Amino acid sequence: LKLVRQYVRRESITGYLFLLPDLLGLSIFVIIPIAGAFWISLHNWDALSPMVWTGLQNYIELFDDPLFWDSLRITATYTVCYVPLLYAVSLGLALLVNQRLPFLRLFRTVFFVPVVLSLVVSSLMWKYILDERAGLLNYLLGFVGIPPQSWLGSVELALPSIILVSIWIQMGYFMVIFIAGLQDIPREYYEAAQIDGANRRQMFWSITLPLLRPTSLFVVVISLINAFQVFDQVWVMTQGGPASATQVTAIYIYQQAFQYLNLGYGSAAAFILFLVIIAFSLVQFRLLRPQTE
Amino acid sequence: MQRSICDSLRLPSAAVHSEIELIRCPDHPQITNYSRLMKWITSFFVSTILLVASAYSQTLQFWKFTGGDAEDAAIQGFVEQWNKENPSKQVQARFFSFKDYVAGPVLTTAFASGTGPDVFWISPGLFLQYAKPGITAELTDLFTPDVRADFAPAAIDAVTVEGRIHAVPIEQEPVALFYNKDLLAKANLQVPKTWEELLSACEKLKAANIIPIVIETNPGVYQNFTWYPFLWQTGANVLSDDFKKATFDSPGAAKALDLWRTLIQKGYAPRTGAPDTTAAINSTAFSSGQAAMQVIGVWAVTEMTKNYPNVNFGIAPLPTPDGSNPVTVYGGWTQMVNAKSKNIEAAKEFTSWMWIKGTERPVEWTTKAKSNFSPRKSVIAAAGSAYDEEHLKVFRDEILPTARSEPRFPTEVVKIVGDALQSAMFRNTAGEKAAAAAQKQLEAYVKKTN
Repeated sequence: LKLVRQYVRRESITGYLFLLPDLLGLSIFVIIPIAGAFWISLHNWDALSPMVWTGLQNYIELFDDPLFWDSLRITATYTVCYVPLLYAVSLGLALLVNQRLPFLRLFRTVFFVPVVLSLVVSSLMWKYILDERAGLLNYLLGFVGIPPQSWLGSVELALPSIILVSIWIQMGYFMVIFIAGLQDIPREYYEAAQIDGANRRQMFWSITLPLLRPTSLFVVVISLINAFQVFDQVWVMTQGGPASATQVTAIYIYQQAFQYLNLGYGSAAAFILFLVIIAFSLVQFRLLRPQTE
Repeated sequence: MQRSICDSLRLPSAAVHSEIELIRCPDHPQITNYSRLMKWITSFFVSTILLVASAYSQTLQFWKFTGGDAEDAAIQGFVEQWNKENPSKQVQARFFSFKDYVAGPVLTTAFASGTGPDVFWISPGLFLQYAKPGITAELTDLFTPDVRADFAPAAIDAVTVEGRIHAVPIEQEPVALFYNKDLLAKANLQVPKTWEELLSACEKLKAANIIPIVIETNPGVYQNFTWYPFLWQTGANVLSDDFKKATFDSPGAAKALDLWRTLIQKGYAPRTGAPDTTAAINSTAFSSGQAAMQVIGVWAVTEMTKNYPNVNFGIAPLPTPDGSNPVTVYGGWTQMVNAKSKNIEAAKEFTSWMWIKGTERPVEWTTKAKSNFSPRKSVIAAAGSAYDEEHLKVFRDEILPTARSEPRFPTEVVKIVGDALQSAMFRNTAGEKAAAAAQKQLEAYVKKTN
């Protein structure tokens, strides 16, 4: 018995040793920086002078900061539009290319191309497409008699434009995830449904969607986290403007920390965003947990 | 120690055991090999790091943003010349993207982690943040009485804090109105001198399907910078001269906000003036000959004459409310020395050699690499006929004498003013209301910092 216990212990040590590289990587690049950010958030720090301990002062000020609340509101708007739309679009594409049609591989590849492009490159490309004077979109709209719009230069249009571009960028990735989910659904279910006389819509609602539950959970959680952290597209296309109409929380954090050199304040805002994301993710895990567990 | 690691690595099953030959224990020759290898790798890395570090500590790091081929080549040329003349004080220049350097994390993160460059450029907006003892070296001793007499007093004031000089002014870049002679003639218009003339000219140009004017639309330091002249023309300002009182709730500030609000809201100026910044005139409708006017600085003259010879343009002072008392702003970069540099003396010597000693380098910089003005009288004199060019002449004779140096407002103030301007322009907020909201924030800021 003693020998067995010894083996078990040895085995677990071995296990931990195999985990060690990952744990080390995680702690150096994730855990320590998060702890560091929290530590900084308790100080006033301009990166140049020594840090000054302020306790929770930064957090108290944040709650009174209308710009911070504005940024949360804009982020929420972005998320509420982006997550369902992205879900619908990528699922729709997956259903489309999951059929037996000619050139399917080509379409799959085409839809996936935006994922392979760098975020900055595709944002820049869209910035030129959406340009007021020389943009392709306004040029095309001109043919149907729609006057040129300032897509990124007006308070009303800037955020919707960015949402649509973000969906275009990311739909291919989630499409692939959905395709994998769809191919996991046993064909027999559809055959059985067909024998029972179900039509395509009924099959979608009663078979496809329920059986995609785990995939949906993944897609919604990941896209929600993406949405809360959105930065690159906004930074490249509008820098948070015009008149702060697209100033999402990540942009606000960046500006506070690196443009106004309030690293403590920026870190505090980042930490609150972190807590918000965790809270939402947990709620979703709960809501979308497979019922058969 | 080695024994215990080796014990813990030993796996129970003989089958597995034989597969993991490398960490087999009882007669552990492999282990010894392994640890020898690790030792060798570790020592290799440590020595590489030490080598690189020592190379870095001996070479002075000189940072600035990239300003285009001509500018970067000139700076690189200066550095190479210095390196040839001073083999023991080598300098390495690094160029960063303009956006990341001016309002990004480049300098901040470097200084925060103690790896700031020895010599670097700083804009007026960040000047105060860095002009503190312990962060940048005091350069007062480079400014002997002769040198002081050569520099424009305003330029020296702009880099002085409590009597200490913290940077060397490199250039003066005043802002003016660029206008397209052909387009104005086509619409039968004179160059506007008053705000009223400006607005009515815009209306006529718009009716003639010409983009009337380009102004900066992206929020930030540059937008504020090009708007300050309009604010000052009304006699208003953001803060009192000593930065101890907010003075933004004035009718003048409201009026200046309303002017830019009208330019956007009436569709006189494009809502996105340029993809990145209108400071790069090659990305605006003015350089493509579609816009009749643009508010921009002297640096754009070279770009226009060199690369857009077909655009027939002229330079005029910015329109003022009633056509009198012209006032504008000049910006320009300054060079600082890191107080924590391992070789402050060499860094100071290099800085002085670049911009204070002799006139050839400043002349090359201000007349060939860029088109702007040295803050030194001797340099402008030495440049001689370089400023006789049609456009630069207007700048030298009419505009530079009316230019005030860019205020070194801290970033919080820049943000507050910028928000007011953005709100007026893009949310159509009345100037008075936007100014009052900003005043409140400015008062809070002043209270916090004094």
